[in-house]
Amino acid sequence: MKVLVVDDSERLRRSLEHGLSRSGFVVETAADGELGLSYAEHGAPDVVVLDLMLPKLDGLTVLRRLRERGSKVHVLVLSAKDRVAERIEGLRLGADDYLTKPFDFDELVARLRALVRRRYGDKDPVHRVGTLVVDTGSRSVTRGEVPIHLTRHEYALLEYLLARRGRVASKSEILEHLYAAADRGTENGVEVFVHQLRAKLHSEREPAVVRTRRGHGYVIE
Amino acid sequence: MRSVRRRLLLLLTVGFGGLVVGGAFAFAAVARSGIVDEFDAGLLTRARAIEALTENEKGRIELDYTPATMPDFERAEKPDYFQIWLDDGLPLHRSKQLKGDLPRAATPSSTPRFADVTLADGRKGRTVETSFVPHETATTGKADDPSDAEDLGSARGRRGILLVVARDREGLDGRIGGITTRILGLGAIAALLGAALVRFIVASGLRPIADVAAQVERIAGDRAGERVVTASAPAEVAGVAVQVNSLLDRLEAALERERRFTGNVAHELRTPIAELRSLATVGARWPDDRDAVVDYFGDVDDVAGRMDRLVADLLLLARCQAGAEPVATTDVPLAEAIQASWDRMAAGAAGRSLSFECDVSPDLVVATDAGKLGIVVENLLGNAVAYALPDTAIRCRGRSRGGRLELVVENDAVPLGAAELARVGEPFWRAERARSSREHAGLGTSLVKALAGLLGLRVSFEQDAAGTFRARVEGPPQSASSLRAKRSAPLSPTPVPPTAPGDRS
Repeated sequence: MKVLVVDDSERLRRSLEHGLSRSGFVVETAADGELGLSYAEHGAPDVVVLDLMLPKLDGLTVLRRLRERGSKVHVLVLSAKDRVAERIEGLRLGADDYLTKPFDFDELVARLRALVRRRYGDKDPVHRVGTLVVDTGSRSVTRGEVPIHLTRHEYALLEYLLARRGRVASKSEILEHLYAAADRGTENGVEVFVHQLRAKLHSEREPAVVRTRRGHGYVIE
Repeated sequence: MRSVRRRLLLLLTVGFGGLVVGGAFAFAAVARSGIVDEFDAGLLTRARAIEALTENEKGRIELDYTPATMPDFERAEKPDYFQIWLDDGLPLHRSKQLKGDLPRAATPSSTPRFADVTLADGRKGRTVETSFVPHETATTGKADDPSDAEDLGSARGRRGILLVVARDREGLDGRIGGITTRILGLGAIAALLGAALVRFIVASGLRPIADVAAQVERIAGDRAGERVVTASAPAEVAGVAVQVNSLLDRLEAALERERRFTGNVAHELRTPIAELRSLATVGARWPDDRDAVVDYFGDVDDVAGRMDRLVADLLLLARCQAGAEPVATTDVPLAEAIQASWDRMAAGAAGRSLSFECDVSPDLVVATDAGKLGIVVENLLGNAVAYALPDTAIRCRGRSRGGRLELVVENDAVPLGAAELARVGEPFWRAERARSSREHAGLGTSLVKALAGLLGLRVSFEQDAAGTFRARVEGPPQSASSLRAKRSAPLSPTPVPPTAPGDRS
């Protein structure tokens, strides 16, 4: 799942990018409001983590313009402004969640996961495909009590396809969600990850979890 | 605590009560005097009657008296008495019921004399004593009816007579006592009614003050935004209410500044703390990324340093505002101080293509605290570097004008609104709303004002229509003697190239 972090603190951006990436998110960052608005509109993030006091364009203006332009992207405001009126103003302008600085990193991750689930209309963090069980809360994958170890990209691919369960995801869509803009992969790379994922999820007694819709993409039924 | 209400109540009650009681006693005394006068007049009338009945007929004193004409002397119970003496003290006659002598003065007097006495029968009485010469009756050849006149004996010529008439004064005392009791009773009732009236008047008179006090108490409680209503207050209280409202306005403004300051301090600390927590959590969670963790330690050090500077600036600001920061006065060459400050931030200025023009005489010396003046100058130049439009010049002028120091730092900047301009110098206020600069906490101009105040200087900020922002530092008249300039005329502008990095705010 792709998260866009818009914050003018370079240290915070760097540590969040590191931590969120290691937590399974694809992370893009922006240092000012103008860049953040552009990435949010064109980078297809699942969630935007938005600071309010930003250079060039403040966070509330970014939020207002996103909503005015019809963007449905989920926005978590991460700000040092902690007054009730300021939180209400942020939520009134279309923020989906509000977290004040300083914050607990695990809480941020939990809230981001909840927002991702809301984005795909899925309230249950546990997905079952046959005997395969994927817990997006603990990021664990098991089949019949046997854990299956996936790489970061493999897990991200599985989680993305599960979030869109029943709907075909094209290779370009998968690319957008698996890679940050600065770290753009290729469609061949997607095929490799799908192949590796299928191999790890393979079961003699059950049909393939990830199916190919030739000419369209991949889907988990 | 002294109470106006209690004091007014006490004074008015005592005053009014004193008047009523004193008036009652005075009225009782007048009434008593009147009654006694009336009693005495009756007593004297009896004496005059006896005088009229006393005759000197050819040297013999006769009392032409019949019991029927003066029954008061004849009755058996509580009779009146009289007694007659010759002027040499020889008793001539006494009323029939009198046992013993009536008291009389040692020397006779032509005017009646009244006295309170105890009668021979033990009753309290009152006497009138007169002396007179009985009128002579001409010899008519016919003697008076011996049954009508009592021969008192030979007067042996024309002699004076002493007469004392006495009456029981029980009735008089009863009347006086009754009237006195009624007057004092009425006085007491009047005093009680007066006390109630005083209480009512005081309460009524002080009600506006009580109303104001109640309003202030409510405001002091949970209605800090309210004000004392002055429209219905009387003139004497309205002035106080207006002053209270003015005080409340100033207090609220001070509290708002305090809240804003506290909020700003908290806000300025939230971001670096958020950075520290994020760096610590991520670094500890994935220590295998050694390069990242090493970077994080460096970041933590930077953040801690920034927080340290913020705290140091806040403490300095607090000490300056409290007047607790010591001032060590030395002779400070102003041009050298400005150059030293500029050197520390010249690299930053070069990065924004800013030039520097300094118009300060190298001979201008100021007697002040060199370190604090350095902070003032450095912050003013630092703000100019931070907010000057790129590719413009920062200009600095310093001179002694009329014995006063005048230092101006100006730069071209984005125009500020009047409200924004008024907030320059307020702690944590920055022209850039995003507060994106992590090196500036927004305390620079606050420190400048506080330090300048400590040094006896005045700082003002202005911006003209062309966008030139000007920080002006002026010295007080009393520092004129401490200003020494070998040349009063300013030097021509001297462009100074940026030489070294540095910034402080």
